Amino acid sequence: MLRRHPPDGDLQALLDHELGLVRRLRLRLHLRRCARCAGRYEEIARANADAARLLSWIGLTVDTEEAWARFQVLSGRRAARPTIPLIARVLVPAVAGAAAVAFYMAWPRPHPATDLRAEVLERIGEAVNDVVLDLCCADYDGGGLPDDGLLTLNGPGEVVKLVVVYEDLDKNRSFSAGDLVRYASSRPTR
Amino acid sequence: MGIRRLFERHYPAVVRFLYRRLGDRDQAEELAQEAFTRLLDRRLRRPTAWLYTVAANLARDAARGEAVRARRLQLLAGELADAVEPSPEQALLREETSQQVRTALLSLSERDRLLLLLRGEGLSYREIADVIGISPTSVGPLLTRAQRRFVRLYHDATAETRDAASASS
Repeated sequence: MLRRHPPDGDLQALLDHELGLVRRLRLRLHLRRCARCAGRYEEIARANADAARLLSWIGLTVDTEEAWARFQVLSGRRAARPTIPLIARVLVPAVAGAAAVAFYMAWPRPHPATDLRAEVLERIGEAVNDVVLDLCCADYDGGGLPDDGLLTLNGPGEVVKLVVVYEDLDKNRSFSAGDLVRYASSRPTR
Repeated sequence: MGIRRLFERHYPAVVRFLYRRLGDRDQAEELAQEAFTRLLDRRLRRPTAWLYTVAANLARDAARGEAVRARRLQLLAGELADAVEPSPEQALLREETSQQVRTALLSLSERDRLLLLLRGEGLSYREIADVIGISPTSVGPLLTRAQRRFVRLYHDATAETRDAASASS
């Protein structure tokens, strides 16, 4: 039960369903017991109804479909674009980024030496008439073990066009597919 | 909520709000479109209050020109004449009443007018408070006073019309 008579604003809020449950119940209880406030409430309710009735004299009907079509044209078709929810705008780039990182990490990348070896083998294969000098094994790379080979390639009477230092991993004392290339000179420009 | 749903839900109410505020249907539609275009560039949590704030500001700017006001009255007369085709007596009564309601509305302060029109479009106290820039607890008392003033001003306007009619006869 309210100790004081409620102000007009509370009665208005009651009419407009803007009060919380407890406040609403207290006010209703008060209105049942206080004829004066009940009269005020009626008067405010009448003013509400009158104002709404008067405003209805200047109402109008709107063709929303037609307005939407016009709006799409006016907004340069931006309105027609589907809107992406906030969560999707955040999650999609994050998931895409994570997937890209995972893909990069998981992709089998060849060891640089493997590439080098393939290139050397290719160049040796191309040099059908060339002289291949393969010296194995000594400590050419300064690692302390005589397990390195030196391979040179040149045409008859020509300067050396390929120098390779390799580690004779398969211990066959010659340059082969299983060896690790430590150094290979670059391909000469023509 | 997507722009299309917002548009469908609020566009007619925003146009009506602007029409009641300005008395010019074309202008009301034009400004409502402008408000929704501005909304496209924003992502808002409470778009309703924002829309009406923009609409109210656009209406205020539009209402400032005297030329617009003159055009408004002219258009209003035309629109009322073009409205549903009732009998001449009904049309006259409608025109007269609408004019009196509009006169009463225009006699209110800007804040009272906004309170009435926003509530008329079903905005909550919180949304109304956001648009007008007052506390939500102030909306109830201010709304009561605005409605009373509006009804009283309307009765004054009808009394004046009656007096003028009896004086002319």
